[in-house]
Amino acid sequence: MDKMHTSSDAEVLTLFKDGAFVADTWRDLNEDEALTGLDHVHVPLNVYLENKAELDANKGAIGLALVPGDDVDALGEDATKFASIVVEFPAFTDGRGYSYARLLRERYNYEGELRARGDILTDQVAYFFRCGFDALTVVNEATKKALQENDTGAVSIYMQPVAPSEVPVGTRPFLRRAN
Amino acid sequence: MYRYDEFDAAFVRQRTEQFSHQVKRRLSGELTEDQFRPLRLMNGLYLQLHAYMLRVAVPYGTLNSKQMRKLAHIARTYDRGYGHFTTRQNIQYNWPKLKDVPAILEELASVEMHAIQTSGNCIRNVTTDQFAGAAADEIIDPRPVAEIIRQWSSLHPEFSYLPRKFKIAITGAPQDRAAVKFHDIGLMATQNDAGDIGWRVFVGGGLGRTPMVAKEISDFVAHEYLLPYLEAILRVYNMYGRRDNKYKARIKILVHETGIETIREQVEAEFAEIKDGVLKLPQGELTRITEYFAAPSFEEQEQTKIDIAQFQVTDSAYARFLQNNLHPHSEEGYVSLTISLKPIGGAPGDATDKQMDAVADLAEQYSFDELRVSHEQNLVLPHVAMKDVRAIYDVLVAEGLETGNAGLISDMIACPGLDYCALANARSIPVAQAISEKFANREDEFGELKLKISGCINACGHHHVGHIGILGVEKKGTELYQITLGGDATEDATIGKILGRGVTPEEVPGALEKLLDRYIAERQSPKESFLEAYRRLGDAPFKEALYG
Amino acid sequence: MNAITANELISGAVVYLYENGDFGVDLQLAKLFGADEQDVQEAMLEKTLANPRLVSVEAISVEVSETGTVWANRLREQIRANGPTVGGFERQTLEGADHVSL
Ligand code: HEM
Ligand code: SF4
Repeated sequence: MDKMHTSSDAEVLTLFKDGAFVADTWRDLNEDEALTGLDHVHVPLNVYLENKAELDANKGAIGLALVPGDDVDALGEDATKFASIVVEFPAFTDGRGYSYARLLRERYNYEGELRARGDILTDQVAYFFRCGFDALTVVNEATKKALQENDTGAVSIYMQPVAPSEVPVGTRPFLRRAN
Repeated sequence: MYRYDEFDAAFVRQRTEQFSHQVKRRLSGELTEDQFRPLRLMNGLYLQLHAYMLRVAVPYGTLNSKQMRKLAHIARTYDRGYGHFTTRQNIQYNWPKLKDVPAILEELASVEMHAIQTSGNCIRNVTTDQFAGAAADEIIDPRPVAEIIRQWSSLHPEFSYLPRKFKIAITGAPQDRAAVKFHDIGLMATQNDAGDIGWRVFVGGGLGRTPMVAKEISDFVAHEYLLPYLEAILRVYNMYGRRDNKYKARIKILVHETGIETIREQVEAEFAEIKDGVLKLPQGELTRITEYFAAPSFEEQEQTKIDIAQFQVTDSAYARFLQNNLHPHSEEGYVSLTISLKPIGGAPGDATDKQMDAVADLAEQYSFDELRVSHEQNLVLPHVAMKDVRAIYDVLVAEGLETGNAGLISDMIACPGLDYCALANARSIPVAQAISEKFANREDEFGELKLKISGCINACGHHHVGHIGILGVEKKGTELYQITLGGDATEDATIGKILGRGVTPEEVPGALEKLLDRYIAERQSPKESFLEAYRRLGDAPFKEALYG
Repeated sequence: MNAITANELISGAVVYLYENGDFGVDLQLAKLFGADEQDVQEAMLEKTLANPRLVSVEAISVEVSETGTVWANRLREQIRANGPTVGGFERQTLEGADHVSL
């Protein structure tokens, strides 16, 4: 675990952010762990909703971990309290997290780090970023390689508006390109 | 029709390059099949029994002659000289090699075509009425809105990993020729009390193993709010659609299990949030897209009627063609002309490269360069002057495309079945051929009759909505065919009922003969169609006719 | 009896595992596994699944007629072995050769 935090060996880094694999300073809440004195810990949504006061009292940075099936609307504007939110993709075919990301960004004004984690294929990378993710935790070797080589082969212009950050192109109202 | 600008062209080119790159990585061994499969499926490439199959989108079934010639060229160069037009208004090639697929996609891109989203759990090719923009009964041409939906749904980042595939169909006419109530979303043009034209929205229709008629979720959505409304439906589906069981993952199951009222509440709540956001359609954009679909410059025609009777004795085949294959046009002196891809004894929906070229020539010469693919697996020349019909017919005769059977029993829908399809339980094409041959001389007697055949319960051949439907199943290693009666794909959407135990392949034509003989015996007049007679009589007489 | 079949990656063509370890288009040359050779069959199946040139790998049930002809038992496999039953189309050919070496 320590190694994950400190190693500069690109092989073991799985967090991709701002164009590079970087050390991950966050961890998940352990089962039965006390909810006080936490710092840089992702807490499951249900734990948060049931222990809001206690968790909010933490001095350190608290993050949130969402899994498919979680009710993002139940979190609502509370989203803005977090420094990092990680959305789990247990299988690449389960696309619920794309909607969660857009709701967090576009409806609940969440501006912190938004991570996708799990079964991430090269082809999906662009979709993640478009929906508002700005960090990926990747284990798939092919995807890691593609990201490292900046070679995800993604289409860079889009037929529909999604993230507010995308740049309009020309005069057609819905066209966008990556910024 | 819609023309790509630089942006659209660049978009498809980038996507084509992306896939070429993926194919290279697959061939070099960098990608495993498990990693590659979802990528190739997103680009319409399946692996079938004998080879790959490439499904090319024909957005809302509209083509020009240049595109049709390109389809012919691909059939000739990379395939075996033919293509299969499908009920999804697509064309499928049955024999491409993986190494050639990037080249094929490049060829397609050169004429503004592609295979994006013809497969996978995303929003598929939008389908519509084959007579769109031409039909006399149309309230509005649905193609501009279909094009807007196509653009919005292309590589949509939020909706590319839905619980299951998602199909949208749209019709601008009250007579539904696009089976909109059997799609995940169906849109039907309507006029509100203020006289504005907008869309009735149906949701949760589908065929497959649990056929369902879509339910109305909204009785009026204005053009400008259509995309937010669709996005709201898709978001609700993406978040709440079942993902635990592939057979229960379509939106029809969500609607069925949750109830249309609850779904409507969820959708309306979501819609209220995004209604006036970035997807609200500016009038200027609707106008811009609509202009692409402006009516061609029709000319005043001297001939405004076709007298069929005069050919009945001297040229009965031509008379039949006139009787069956012409559809009323909104413009006086014009018709829409159906080119049947159902020659007696042929494979429904197949066309050779030579035939495609000939049809392209006809479109160029006689139909303002426009062509349509119908969900009934035929081709259509949408805008033909009545005076030109004979000349067109003569060309069709030379190409073996003159069959005057549109809407009759031999104009059947059939899926590829076990001769090609990896999911099939039984063959469809030989059964279709045997039926077509059996009734070649009696089909006029039967009148309008929709026969639809699927080779397994996935129902690609729409058997649930055939007046007579045939479903192939496998029982103890042999093929068996179940017969359903009373299905209807139109605005009166009805799912057919299974008549009884299945019959062997050899027995199918004979079984249909018994049913049809009974219909002839029972009908009140030759004007009462098979479907009407079935609705009046119920299935008892037909059961008796078939099983004694 | 069983045989091992797959589709070849580049052409998509139907192939069978041969006695000599190659894969080729002819069912008649397929290596057959008897009921008592389950282990060998499993091992070969594993190995075939790992071959990047082959997809849709499966063991299929076959019979040998009195005259020595190998017949697939399911209609699906007969159609894969002989091509579509309509339209007069030949089977897909392998790119450049009639067999693939492992
Ligand atoms: C040959 C390869 C094909 C494969 C592997 C395939 C696969 C499937 C599957 C799995 C379904 C069921 C989906 C569900 O209920 O969730 C389905 C439905 C359908 N397919 Fe195909 N299909 C093929 C060819 C075709 C062809 C040739 C057509 C058009 C003629 C077609 C049109 C349709 C339609 C209209 C439906 C049913 C409507 C619905 O409920 O979505 N498919 N297909
Ligand atoms: S209905 Fe079945 S057999 Fe026919 S094309 Fe669809 S999946 Fe294949």
